[in-house]
Parts: sequence; C-alpha cells; structure tokens
Amino acid sequence: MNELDKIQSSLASAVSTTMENMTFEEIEIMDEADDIQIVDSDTIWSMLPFQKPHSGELVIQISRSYGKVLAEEVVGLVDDDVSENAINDALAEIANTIAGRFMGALVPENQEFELGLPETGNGSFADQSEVAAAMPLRIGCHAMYVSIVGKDFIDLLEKA
Amino acid sequence: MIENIVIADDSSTARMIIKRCLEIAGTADANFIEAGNGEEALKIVREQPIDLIVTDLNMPVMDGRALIRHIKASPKLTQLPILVISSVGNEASREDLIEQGAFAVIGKPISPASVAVALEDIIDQDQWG
Repeated sequence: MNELDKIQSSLASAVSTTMENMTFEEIEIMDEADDIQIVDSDTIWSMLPFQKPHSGELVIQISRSYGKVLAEEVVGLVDDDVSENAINDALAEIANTIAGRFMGALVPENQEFELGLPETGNGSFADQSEVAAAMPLRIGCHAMYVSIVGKDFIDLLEKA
Repeated sequence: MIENIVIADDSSTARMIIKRCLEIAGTADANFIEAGNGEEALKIVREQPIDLIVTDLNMPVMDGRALIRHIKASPKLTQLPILVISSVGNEASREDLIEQGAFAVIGKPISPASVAVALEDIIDQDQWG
C-alpha cells in the first residue's frame, strides 16, 4: 500500500467508524468529480490540528442544516435547544474523534501522537492550499467534506 | 458504590455524551459534576468527596495528563479512579496513560458498553483491591 492509499484508507476507516457510532449512519465515499453541494455560504467547518508526529490539520466542512441534524443525533438535543454553540460543539467533537482514529490508524501502535484543540467557523475553510487528501462523503441525504491538510502530509506523499 | 462523578471535558457536547453513557452503563442515580478543564476538575475533587473522575485529554488551561499527575501526586486523592476518554487511543498512548495513573482509557467514540466494562472493573477493584 502506498502512502496515499494508507492516508485515504486510514481516513475512510476513521470517518466511517466515527459516523456509524455517533450517528448510526453509513457513509458513502464520493468521487472528487461528483457534484455534491457542500461548500457554500451556509457552510460550517471544524479544524483539528495534528501536532505530533506529523503536523497538519483535519478539516471537516458541512452545511449548517446538517450541523443541526448532527447536534440532534449526537447529543440528543431537541429542536429548540440546538444553539449555534451546540452545532459547533457537536462538529468539533466529531472532528476530534475522526482525527484521533485517523492518526491511530496511520502511525504505528507503539508510537504516540498528539492532537491540538479544535476550532470551528462559518463559511468555507480558508486555507486549503496544502491539501494532502480530500474525501467528499454522502451520509444519508447529507454531504460532508473531509480533508487532511499540511506540508508534513504532502511530504509523506511525495516521498512515496 | 459510585455516587459522585466528575466529568472533565472542554466540550459541553462531549460532557453530555459521557454523562448519558455513564447513566446507561449503571450510574443513573449518581450525582454528576461537570468541569470544563483539568483545573476546574482538580478544584472540585479537592473540595468534595468524589468517587470517579472521567476526563478528556485535550483541554485548555489544564489538560487531562496534568490532571492525572496532580491527582496521583496527592496522598489524599491518589486512590481516586480516573477514566480517560480520548481520541488518542493507540496502544502506546494507552500504556503511557495507565503508567501515569489512569485506571482505564476508553477510545472515542465511546459507548455505554465500553463504559460499563470500565465501571465493573472499578467496582471490582473497590471491593477486592
């Protein structure tokens, strides 16, 4: 398995396990060319930094309406209780879980790794200049865009 | 008997998920006290009797590793069981956390079943240890 395959399969496994456990939904990995509408003015994102052994970021982008669904499904909030904070918090928790599982699958079992604290924001994630791997997903009737960003990951791919 | 549980996590969503899993796993009658970081959790355990701490690792102000270090360094608190809920769940990290004093490490996403196993172990140790 080359480095790109390893990164892609680690990411797919991390997203699949996380979403199936937290939302009971199966994911479908789409082709980059598939026209799935995710990034628009109503997009929200969560970014989780990787600190060790590779530095970079995991970025998740979804629509705000899917964020509301996730807050309801993940936390069990009812409609009126779903605040902006609750949506961001639920997405950050999902990013944190996916990032941990991704690095757990990527690095050897005997090697420790460190993650930073998640950030969330509105609109499309600004810095997508160093995307090492990108994965558009369909989850039920919703879309999600997950990417691994950072020079360390690009270097990994180039060394392969 | 686990009566008072501190849940330390900077995410209110995560705290709600952890609380729900603990309730389903058999501690529905417990008193849950929430803390947004390790420093808040440490203040709570120093001020009132606590039977269990459930903590995240990555938190601002004071992270989970520092919280474990403080608790294990205190003769009064050192026996307090600490469950770590972490997305950093590979074998090397688990072993390191257990060595530092965590009772068990549960990988995210957590489930009532994984929490129940850890709770049973804590209760067994409390009875026989």
